[in-house]
Amino acid sequence: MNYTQIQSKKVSPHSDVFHEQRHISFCAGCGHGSLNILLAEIIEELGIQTKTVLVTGVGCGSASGGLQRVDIVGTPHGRASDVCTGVSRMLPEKTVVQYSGDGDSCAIGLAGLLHSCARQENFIILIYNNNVYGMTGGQLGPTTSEVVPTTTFLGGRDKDVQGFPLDIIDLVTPLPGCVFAARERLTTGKNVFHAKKTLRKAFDLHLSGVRGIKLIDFLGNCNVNWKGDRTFTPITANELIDNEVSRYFKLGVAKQPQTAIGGQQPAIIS
Amino acid sequence: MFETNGTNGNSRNAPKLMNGCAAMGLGAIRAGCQYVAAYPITPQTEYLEYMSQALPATGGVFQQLNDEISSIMACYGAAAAGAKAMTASVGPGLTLMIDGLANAAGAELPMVLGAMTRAHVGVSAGLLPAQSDIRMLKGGGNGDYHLPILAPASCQETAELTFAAFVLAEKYRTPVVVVIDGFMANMMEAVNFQKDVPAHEAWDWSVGHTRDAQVYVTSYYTPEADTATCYRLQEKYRVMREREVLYEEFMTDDAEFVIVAFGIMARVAKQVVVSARQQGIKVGLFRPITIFPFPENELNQIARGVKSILVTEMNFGQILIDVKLAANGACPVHFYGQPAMPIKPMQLFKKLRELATDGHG
Ligand SMILES: Cc1ncc(C[n+]2csc(CCOP(=O)(O)OP(=O)(O)O)c2C)c(N)n1
Ligand code: SF4
Ligand SMILES: [Mg+2]
Repeated sequence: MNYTQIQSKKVSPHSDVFHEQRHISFCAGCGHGSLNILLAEIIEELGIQTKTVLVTGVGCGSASGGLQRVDIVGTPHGRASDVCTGVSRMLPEKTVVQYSGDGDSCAIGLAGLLHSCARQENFIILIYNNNVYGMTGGQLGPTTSEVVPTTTFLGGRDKDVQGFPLDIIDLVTPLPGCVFAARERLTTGKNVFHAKKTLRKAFDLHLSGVRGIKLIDFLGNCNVNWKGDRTFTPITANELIDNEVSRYFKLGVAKQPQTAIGGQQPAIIS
Repeated sequence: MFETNGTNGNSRNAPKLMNGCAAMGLGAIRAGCQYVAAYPITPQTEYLEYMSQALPATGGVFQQLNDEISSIMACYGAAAAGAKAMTASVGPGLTLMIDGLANAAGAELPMVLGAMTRAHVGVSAGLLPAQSDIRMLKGGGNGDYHLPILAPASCQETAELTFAAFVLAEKYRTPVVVVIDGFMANMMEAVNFQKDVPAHEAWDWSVGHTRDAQVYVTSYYTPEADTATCYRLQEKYRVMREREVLYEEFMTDDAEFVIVAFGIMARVAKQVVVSARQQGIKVGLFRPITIFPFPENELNQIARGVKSILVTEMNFGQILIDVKLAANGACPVHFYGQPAMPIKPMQLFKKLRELATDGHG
């Protein structure tokens, strides 16, 4: 195992939503850690700790189930959108959040995710898109761009065999049931801060009562398991995202309701 | 379409003519079912159509999802959220649900699955009914688990046992299967089922019901908890084997031969027992109602006192293995089966007479 186990009393100085004294199983420098901190902070800022149900997919991100101090439903690989459907239909007043990797959501779980959008289910989908199956060691997946080395296609995606990377934002944006779609990157401090603002927008929109899927694709590194024909440090891995990966995957808010965001503070449904 | 009023008019207490699909729906509604997610497949479609009207009328949610994988997993979500959930399917759809069932068994989520069984292998060999898929449903997914399987023999019993399945699912925190063959799914009979349950309150282990502690519903957590789950599941199955076995015996007391049959074949067998008795053949019927937990001890007792057992199924032997294990060599176990149509009483009678007269039993 490549995992660096960091034991810490409180991961984020800003949030009580994190469990104290839990092992964090993310590798050092992995953006899964950043995303979990952002999520915990926002849940705390909005005061929705007891109103949130976190549904974790299978991948490195499933460890977020052990970190966030909210109600958790663990799911088998690829089924988080389906499970969110059942949870949110039975608990319509809760904020249901899917936390998935790109493999979990865009490979094995793509059908469930797209149909959740088509049915205008009402939950938030967070994708940690590291362009590989991180947990199983860094194999190529449908979201792998040509510039990310993998353990099965060492130099990155071989277009003759594997075709082209799948862009989840392109897929969900045309669906009316998806009301918010955006891509962020968890690289530099500045970019992480920007990502937080977008994440907050998705939550605000959800809490303001706008029904539908709110999806954010977060580009992040897998610095340990990006290891085909070259290896990375957290810093060089983040540079690859900023300089190259984000050319394949367009950044920014691709879709949002015309009116609901910006202006005044949306009401929080209790 | 699914039900017509009996001769007593419209009153709630009047028996209604219903097919197996609708009877299953009725049992579920009476048991307080709150969520159904499913995908259509013959001959389960009338269950869908019934539930699409009956469930919203009682405040529940009925959804059609993109496939059976999503359907069972949405039930997993609904159950995790504290609701009574159900889905139903047939052969190819049940196959797609096996993963979800294993996961729900591991995560200890109660839910009910209606199974209407057909004769085909994959999608080959057609739409006709058969008592198939039992072996797959008992625990076809990964890992050491079992699912309780209830096998009614009439539309009335389908309503009753679907109701019972919800009770069992809640009691043991497990998916429970109610299995009827395609013939019963479409067959209409008088059904009169009035039972009700008190309003359901979400289970205290379910998510989304604000409490002091965080609730974690999952099939895995830490290595220690994982191992503990394996043992906890086995303990549950032990208790079920002890307490939840259901079966029916008919004229077995002095029987020299016993027919073992479940579901609709048990009704055929009962007729054969009656007419064989008139001709002096001392035969009885043993009908397992729970296929898991299987009435192993009870059947073993019978096997010790008879010349032979004849298992008859509308398939090529789905419970035959269980019967052989139960008999454990105490008497010969013969088999007579066919797919696609219930075996006719005359056919079964001939088979029985052969056994009774050829000396070796
Ligand atoms: C049905 C099934 N197939 C394969 C696996 C093995 N598996 C575990 S995690 C994983 C990849 C997860 O990748 P991703 O969702 O991108 O998350 P990451 O670890 O990269 O954050 C796979 C393939 C599994 N658990 N279940
Ligand atoms: S995604 Fe990669 S870097 Fe991050 S925890 Fe998983 S293996 Fe480690
Ligand atoms: Mg990944």
